Amino acid sequence: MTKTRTPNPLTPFLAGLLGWLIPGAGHVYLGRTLRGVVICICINGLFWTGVAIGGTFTVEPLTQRWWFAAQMCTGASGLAGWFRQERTRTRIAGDLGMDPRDVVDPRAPDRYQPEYAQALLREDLAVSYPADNVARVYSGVAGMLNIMAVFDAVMLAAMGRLGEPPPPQKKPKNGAKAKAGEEPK
Amino acid sequence: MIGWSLFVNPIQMGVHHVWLVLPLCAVLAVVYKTIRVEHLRHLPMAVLGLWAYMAGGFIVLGVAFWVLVEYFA
Repeated sequence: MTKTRTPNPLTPFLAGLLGWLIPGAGHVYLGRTLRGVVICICINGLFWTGVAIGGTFTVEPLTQRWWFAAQMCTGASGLAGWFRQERTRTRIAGDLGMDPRDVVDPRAPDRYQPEYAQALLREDLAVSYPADNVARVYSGVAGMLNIMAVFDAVMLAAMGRLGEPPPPQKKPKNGAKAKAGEEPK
Repeated sequence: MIGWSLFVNPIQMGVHHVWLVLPLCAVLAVVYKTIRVEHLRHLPMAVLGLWAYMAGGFIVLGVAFWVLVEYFA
């Protein structure tokens, strides 16, 4: 049942924060548990399907900044993907004697240094067409969907609408109204 | 290549990757309608309707582009 309360200024903030960190958690916090679970499964499933298609380098903050920004909107999943990529990049750059921040070609900001690109190819980590498109669209769209879910949770909390709305009332049959109610004289 | 493992190495994809737009549309429809529907019992039909709408839109676009390329290019 929906309960309308005086809005607590902290509730929208908490709902938004939880919803960002774990997709759907904002809805669970507001008492919309089933919706939250559906959102959580769908958004996390979409993100990790993208990572399964594109591998560790699906999340790439250096050469794919816009996709990276969208992926970070999935909260914990996005951060985990970023951590995995960062760790692998640091290891490969370390093996090559490079600074992990200097693996991008300064002349072309969307490309790696040749030796780093070769190392990625050797380890079968380089994401190429069409897997890169599919992987980044899946994981990026997951983040954009979570923005929508977070916005919904924040708005519901700001309006003080907690829990599921009540089930729709069945229309009374023709005779029912006459029996239950009395006609005013 | 040392050894392939899921979530680490990318998958090799063929020309049929375009079909992956359908599950993407399905997830999009589920999340959008989960937020929008007033009562959850209306969710399956609302999701199916939106998914069919999006898939139909893609088919119409595809046919339109095919006609454009085939007869007007």
